[in-house]
Amino acid sequence: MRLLSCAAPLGLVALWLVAASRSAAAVPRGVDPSQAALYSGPTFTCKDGSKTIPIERVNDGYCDCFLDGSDEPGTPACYSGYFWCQNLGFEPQLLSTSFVDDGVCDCCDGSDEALGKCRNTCLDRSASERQAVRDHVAFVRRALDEKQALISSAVQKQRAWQNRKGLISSEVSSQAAEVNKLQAQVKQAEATAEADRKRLAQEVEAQREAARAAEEARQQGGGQAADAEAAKQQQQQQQEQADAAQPPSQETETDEERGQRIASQWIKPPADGEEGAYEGEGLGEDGEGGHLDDDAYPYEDHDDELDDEDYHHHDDDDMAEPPLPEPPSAAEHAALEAQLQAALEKLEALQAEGLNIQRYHQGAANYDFGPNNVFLALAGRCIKDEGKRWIYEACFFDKAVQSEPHAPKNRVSLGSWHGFNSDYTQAYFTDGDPCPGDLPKRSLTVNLVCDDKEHMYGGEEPATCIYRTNLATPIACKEADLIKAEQDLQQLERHEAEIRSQIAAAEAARRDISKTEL
Amino acid sequence: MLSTRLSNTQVTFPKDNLHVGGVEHRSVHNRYGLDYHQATADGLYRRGYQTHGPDGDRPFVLSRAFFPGTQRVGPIWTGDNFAKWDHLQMSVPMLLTISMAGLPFSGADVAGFFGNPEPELMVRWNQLAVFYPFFRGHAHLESPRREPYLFAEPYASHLRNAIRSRYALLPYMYTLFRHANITGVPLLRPLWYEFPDNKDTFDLDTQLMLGPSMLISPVMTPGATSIDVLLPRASRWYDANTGAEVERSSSWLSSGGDKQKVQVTLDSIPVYYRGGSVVPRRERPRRAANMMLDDPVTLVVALDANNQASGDLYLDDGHSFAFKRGEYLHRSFTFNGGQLQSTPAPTATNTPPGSLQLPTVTVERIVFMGLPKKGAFQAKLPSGQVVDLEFEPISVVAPRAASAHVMRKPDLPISQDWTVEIYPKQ
Repeated sequence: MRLLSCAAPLGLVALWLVAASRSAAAVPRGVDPSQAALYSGPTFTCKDGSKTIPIERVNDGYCDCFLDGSDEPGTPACYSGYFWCQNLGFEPQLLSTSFVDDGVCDCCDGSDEALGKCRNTCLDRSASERQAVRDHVAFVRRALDEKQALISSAVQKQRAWQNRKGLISSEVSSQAAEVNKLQAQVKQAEATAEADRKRLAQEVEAQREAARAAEEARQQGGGQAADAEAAKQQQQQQQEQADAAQPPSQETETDEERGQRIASQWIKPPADGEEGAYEGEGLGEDGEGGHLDDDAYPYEDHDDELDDEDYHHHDDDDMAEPPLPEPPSAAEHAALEAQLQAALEKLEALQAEGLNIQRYHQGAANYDFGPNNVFLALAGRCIKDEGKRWIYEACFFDKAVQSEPHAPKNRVSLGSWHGFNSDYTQAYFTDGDPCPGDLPKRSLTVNLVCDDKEHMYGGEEPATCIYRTNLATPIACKEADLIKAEQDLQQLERHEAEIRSQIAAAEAARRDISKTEL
Repeated sequence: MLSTRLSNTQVTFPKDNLHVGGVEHRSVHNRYGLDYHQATADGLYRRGYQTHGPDGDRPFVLSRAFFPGTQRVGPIWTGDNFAKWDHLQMSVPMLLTISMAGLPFSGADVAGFFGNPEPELMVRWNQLAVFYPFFRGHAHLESPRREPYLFAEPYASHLRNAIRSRYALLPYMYTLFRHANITGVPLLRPLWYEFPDNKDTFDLDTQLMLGPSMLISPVMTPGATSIDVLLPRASRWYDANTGAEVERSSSWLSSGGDKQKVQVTLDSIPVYYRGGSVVPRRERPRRAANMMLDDPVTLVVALDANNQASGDLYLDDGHSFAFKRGEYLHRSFTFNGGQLQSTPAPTATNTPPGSLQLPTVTVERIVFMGLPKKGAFQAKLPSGQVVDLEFEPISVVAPRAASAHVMRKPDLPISQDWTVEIYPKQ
């Protein structure tokens, strides 16, 4: 949820106070009370000075001041005039007079149409704004609670590092030793598995050779038996074809079957091995959505990512014999590989932890973590803004990097940690990778925005090699925001009752006026 | 089974395909445009009785293909044209031909379908197109946007004025549509239709008439400062923008005939009222014609050589078939011997007489053109009250309207008979 602009609720309060002070004076329909003086007296002069008419011709339903429509503010006679709606409960509005008395409720107080045609919806409009202010107050309260939690977690983090400080270096070295041991074991297992495979292949080949020789011998000796077998098969096939050619009798064939039968005369099923035109669509191996153009043709290979070596290897084996079974030592090799991976990851984590302790605990004096060390919550980790085109990664107190979603190895440094501005609304990384010519070295500015959930968004490059992104975080929320929002809400709710009574009074007055006009 | 691949050069059924009864496709191909159009309109027509009750709802289905008989079904347009000056010029003879061929409800895409009109072309095309029976701006999906409000000044103001003048014109056009509905006479007419004795009109395709009372001479070349306008001498003519009568004494082209050189500016095109006409207008443009149904009417009275004029006004609810059972209003206006009379118009054969009462619709303004210039005039209303005719602009929506004799706010009810008498001020 985004932070709302705070200007709106206050503006609303101001307008309510102003609107309340204007009384429904005896001005012609559609005239702003502040202009009442123009419409008093025995004559009226068009606002552009073009004509003077007797006052009876104001709002008489005939356009006299045809250039500016000022003699007909309350009727649609001049399309160039303007009608003033009081809109108690919301904001006054100037409406083109061509919208007056046309059957459509344009002003929220309905004064642009005959009495009774429209409902006063002005408070409804401001009701939704009041609800928005209420939601905003709740949101700011939540965000500040989050912030408090982050402050306490920062304290805990420091304590944890304190405890781990002594142990971390020995843990790192013992883990490194474990990794080395595993690496040796993996090498050993790999060699064993390879040897087993070779032996197995030789055994299987010998068996096949024997079988082939036996088959040749049998064929030369037992030709008759084979012929009889073939003839029987052929007869069976013919019978099946005859059955298929005869369509089922009229009574038993359904419409669906008949349709399929007729269609099959015109549509050939795809031959074996081909795929239908639309199979293979959907998420391809490259991870993107299906490309209809590419996948519509059944003969193209979908596996774009296979490199040549695998392809040829696959091809040879497919055409020849089914693949050989794996020896048990291969499974052992795989298991050891997995263990090695896990151990490597654990080593990396420990090394990173050691680095964090060294930097942010032992070297804490080098960094400004903000009031109450609240920004410590961001230390030692990296936050990503994953856009479609670029990924921006900011590791507070360390470095910032830009990379591409589909090519993570393409990385560009946007700088190393520089610091905050004086009120902690922006953070800076500077001195990144150079840019050609007179362009500055790459840098990143992070705007800190109050929000109840942490996320980074809106990464952009407003000027060449100057980068900007936004970090929404509870850390950027301030107590003062909450106080202000709560005050606004109180004022709005207090005035609602006042306005309601004013609206009732104004409508009663309109009813009285229309009664006397009859 | 028929070939489903439309692979011939015409991208349609081969002409020798056989239909039921051995009829070749070439004999029925052109009908398809009518059949398809009619089937759609028919569906809406029937649906209208379900959704709108016993008086139904008039269908509006636009078609590009047509055939004799399409005029009974719905409007047509000239298809995919280009945003070019020569296509603007071409729209006039195209629409005149279509109208004379029996399809009065027709138009062309304003400012061209393909391409990007320059602002001047956009303005000139709109100024002509407000007189098309079917007035629609339309363009290809990938062409740049060209809503009128996206144009810079002064073009936006000119476009706004032109479109507003269309709204003011609606009562006259609607009356012409009634005549087309009953008798088939076209709205857009070549000049020879109204002036068959004037040989100069026979090959004229740069001007057209909207009904019997208005002549339009569009500007169809870029940067034009003057154009030649043919105004047959059989009539008196009044400039619809300024109200001034066209004088015949000066500025005839030496080639003779009735051609005049007229100065033009970007804000309008030459449009004329024909002497002898009473033209109804509604000078209160609103955001939609639906909202104008209760608005008062302005009558423009343009006198002929005998100081006479006549015209009519047709009104109904604009969307249902209630008019078929008499729910309409059709009034005749005649000016003769200084008296302007409103009487029921003659009922067309095989139609019920119009009995619609519109108590809120009045005549709020009557403009007189062609009265003897000297002096002021007075009018005697049906109530016996005598009022002065005032000098006011002939139109609230015309940009250069000059003063003419105007009867201000007579508030004459449109559904009743009345007579007002005009005479020089005593």
